[in-house]
Amino acid sequence: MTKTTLLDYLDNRPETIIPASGDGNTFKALSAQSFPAMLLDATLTSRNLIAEDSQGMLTLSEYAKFLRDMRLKKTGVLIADLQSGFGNPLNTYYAAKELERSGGDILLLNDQTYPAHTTAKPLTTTPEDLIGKLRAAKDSFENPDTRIWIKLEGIHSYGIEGIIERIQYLAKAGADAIAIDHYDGQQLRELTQMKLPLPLLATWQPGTEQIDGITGWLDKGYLSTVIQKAQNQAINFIKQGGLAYAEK
Amino acid sequence: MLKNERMRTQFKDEVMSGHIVRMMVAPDALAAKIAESEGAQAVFSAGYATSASALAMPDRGIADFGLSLERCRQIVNAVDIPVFADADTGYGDIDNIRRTVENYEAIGAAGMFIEDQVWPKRCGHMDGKKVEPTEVLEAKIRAAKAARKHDNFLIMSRTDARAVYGLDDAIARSKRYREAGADLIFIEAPQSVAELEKIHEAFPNTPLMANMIEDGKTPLTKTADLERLGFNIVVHPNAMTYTQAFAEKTLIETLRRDGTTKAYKDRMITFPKFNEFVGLDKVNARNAGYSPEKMKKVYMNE
Repeated sequence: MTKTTLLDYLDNRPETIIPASGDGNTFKALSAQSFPAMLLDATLTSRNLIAEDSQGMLTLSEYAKFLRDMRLKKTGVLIADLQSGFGNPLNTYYAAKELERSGGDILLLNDQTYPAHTTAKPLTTTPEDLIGKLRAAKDSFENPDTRIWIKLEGIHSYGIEGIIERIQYLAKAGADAIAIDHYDGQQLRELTQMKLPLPLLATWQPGTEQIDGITGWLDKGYLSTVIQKAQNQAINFIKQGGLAYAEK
Repeated sequence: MLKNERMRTQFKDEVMSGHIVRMMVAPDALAAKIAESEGAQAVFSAGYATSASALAMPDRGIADFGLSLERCRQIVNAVDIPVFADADTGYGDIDNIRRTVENYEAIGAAGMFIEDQVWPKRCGHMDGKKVEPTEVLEAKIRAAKAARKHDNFLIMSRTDARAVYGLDDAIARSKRYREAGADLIFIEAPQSVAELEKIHEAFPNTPLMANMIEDGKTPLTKTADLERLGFNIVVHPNAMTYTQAFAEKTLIETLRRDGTTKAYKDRMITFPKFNEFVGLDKVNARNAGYSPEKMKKVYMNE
């Protein structure tokens, strides 16, 4: 599996989930499995490295350092989170260059304003800014095989029509695929009924309805959620045990 | 060919060319860019300069792997000539060597040296050095060779035994390091031209590095003479750090004395020349290339 063949692979296996990670333990566990690709998610990384729930709190240099460390632990395709480009298109140019040199095979640029936040209804940027960031990222690539996917997060504000419009101009500007986030099943079904110029992926979490026409699914951190629940149970166990011991 | 591969290939070709490679130690990315612009063929990201520039500390094993790696990475990204890395003792045992090699190779260094000093180490020209038994660096070199992903990521052995046990011991150690797989040999701090000659006689077919440090143990020797002596790389480890420190010190003295920097201005690069050197025009042009007006034309399909 390479960065240039991943979309074809997914197209033939539409049930495939690309797992997300933001910490070394989870990354290592996932790397040992035969997933075709992995996403080093900015929100999960932010929680891991700086104990912040919003991706926008994590700076490029902090994320890139972690990406380089994780790159050494995985030989397959690694998707790096470019967030919203860490500023304007000029910042995106240098950010994309940094993430490519740090080992990202595919960069995932979202259409939020800068700084990007981890929220269900983020603010989204203008077409001009988004196109500028996409072109800047592509201009920065040293390796012609590096790919860029765009995550559209504003279906709540620009609707299905806005999504379609964005996909049209992003295709012309050179995007390799689109990922839809913060959608409901009906919206996704509508999109898959249309003839779109780019492969369509969507974010995934437990309970997500599998819909024909979606090329692949990007995990939003299922493993991390499970680990967090287990950790909370363990914390409660320690607290209860500690109190019982104190009472003795 | 991607940059990392291009730099490794270029460095190996230069080292094997039969001509000496002029390599400057750069304390930071700006210094590296200056060295490149003035004709250095390679840059060395080395411990003495990194300790000084990042920590204002001597080269005594305080600067660690993470700090040194990051400085080297910044330098690699700032220039388009090969960058060689000083990996000190490898920062631990042979398990650490693996991580050290993997990381320096991944950031795009053209190669690295590892040395046989006892950690925490000292600059090679300081007194009081101690060296490990030869087997320690032999094992590290084998581990380094096993860890590297590309044969043209060059591994250099460095011995500091000259100061501890004499030149014959340093040569004997280096022969064992060569047999263990070192691509390049560096015997630190020979004390005369005769010793430099003796090193070449011991390694007539192995690329050698000479270290020209001001006020150090080795006589300052011209690059052309080192080439005639059979050395393949000459490195100037501290010249940029000392020049920078001297210039900044005299600048502050002038400012304190005069209350202004006017009297020092003729020893500074000018505002426009500096901006040109660091590529302000190129950055501004790139920024303008993605202006909302231009992107709107793309959006409107004009």
